[in-house]
Amino acid sequence: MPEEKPVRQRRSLKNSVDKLLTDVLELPKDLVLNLPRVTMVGNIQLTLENHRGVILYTDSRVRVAVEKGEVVVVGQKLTLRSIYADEIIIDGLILDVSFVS
Amino acid sequence: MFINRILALLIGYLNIRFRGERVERFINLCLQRGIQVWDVYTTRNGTVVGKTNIDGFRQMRPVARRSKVSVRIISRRGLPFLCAKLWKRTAFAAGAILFFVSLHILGAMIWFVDVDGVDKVPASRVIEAAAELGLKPGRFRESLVASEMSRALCIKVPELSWAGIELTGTKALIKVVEKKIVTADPRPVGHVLASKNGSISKIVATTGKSMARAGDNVQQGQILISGAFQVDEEAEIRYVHAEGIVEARIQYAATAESSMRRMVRRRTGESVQCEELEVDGTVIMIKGPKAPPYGLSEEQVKPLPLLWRSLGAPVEHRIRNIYELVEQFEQVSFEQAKQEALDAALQQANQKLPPGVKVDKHIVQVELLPDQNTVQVTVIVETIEPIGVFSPIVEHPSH
Repeated sequence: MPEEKPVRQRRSLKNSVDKLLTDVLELPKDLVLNLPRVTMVGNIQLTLENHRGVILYTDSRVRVAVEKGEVVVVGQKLTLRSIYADEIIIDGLILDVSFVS
Repeated sequence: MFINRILALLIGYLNIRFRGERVERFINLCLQRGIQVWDVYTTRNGTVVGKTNIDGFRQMRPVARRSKVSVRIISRRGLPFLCAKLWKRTAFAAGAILFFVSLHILGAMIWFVDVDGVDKVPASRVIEAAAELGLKPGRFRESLVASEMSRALCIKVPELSWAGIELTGTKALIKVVEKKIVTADPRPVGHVLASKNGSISKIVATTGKSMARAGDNVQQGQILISGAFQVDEEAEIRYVHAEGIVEARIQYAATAESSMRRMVRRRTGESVQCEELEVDGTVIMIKGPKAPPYGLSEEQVKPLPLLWRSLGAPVEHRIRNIYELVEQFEQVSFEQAKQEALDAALQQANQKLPPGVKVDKHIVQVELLPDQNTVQVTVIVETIEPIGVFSPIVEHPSH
């Protein structure tokens, strides 16, 4: 579609400006670029900030939507300890964390 | 977080069970609407359970309908539900309240009364007196006025000079101080008098007023420490048993004379020997003259040992030597005469000293008498000795 092009251009322009900002001014990337921040406490707790919602929840696999993809957590006895609008805390035995875009 | 759990318990939360194909969608919708869901986990039989608060559960109904997930309450937790439960069990709640109220009331009462500091007054008397004043087990602490109580206690038990009440918890501790009752001195009142003439060297009055000072010459019988004195001129006379240390220098003098030219007796060298036996008091001369053959003579008797004498026979055998003597004048030096006189005078003076007395110094005066022949020596022995003797006052207004 012909109308879409300028939009995409504008987006890529904004992205490059943001990237420049974070690189040059050393601003936190997760805030400026809206990227997820994953914090792990050993292999028993995982905190995921800046998420976009839960895609799948079972006790062995959790998929969480993030900007530009999803984070997949594989483990045993996984629990959603707390769920807030911008933060998810996953408890349990975490075996694997992968980023799918 | 811990604080969140406490908060959740206070405001109450629900354990809920989700059943349906699209639990994730349900959770996302909840997030969008600001419904709090936490502790989401999968049970062994595959159902997903979680927790939410009371308001959240109310808002969940339309979300559940939209995502086709059925939500069931498993259990209710927290204070609001506990209260509701208690409200139903009136007797239990009333019992709990009664327990706390009675604990508070009983804690505000005094249950133990103790006494500290009594010596002669029995503790039971103080406790009884305190009980009469209202300080006894079962009394409320608030109703006690400690200052009034301690004053009243001192009046009630006159042997106490001070009483203080200390309240710690349900225990009341009565601290008391007993009066020290001063008993009158049983000893008679009187003065300390001088027992000898002398010069005071030290006077310390422990009781009474000293009437002499160091260096004063005092006569026998003079008052040294007075037992009847006034503190100042207007005060009335106080009578005490005077006591103190009084030491004085006492002089003991003795005089002796010695001549430089004097008559002495000497043996001439002539002598005779007599031998005699004494049997039962009768003297039998064996050898020698019966009477001394010299004008001046001296004798020396020497008993002879007899073997049979030791058996107790009443016989004594002895030899008597008689020496002739001659009198002649002899001139001795001044020094020798002085020494002899000094020795004699010292001996005399020392005889006058009371036993066990401390001699401070000797004063020796030597004089040659006008006859130019006799040396006179005067020895003054100075001692320091206690001279204070107690003498009671006979005419005393209170005795």
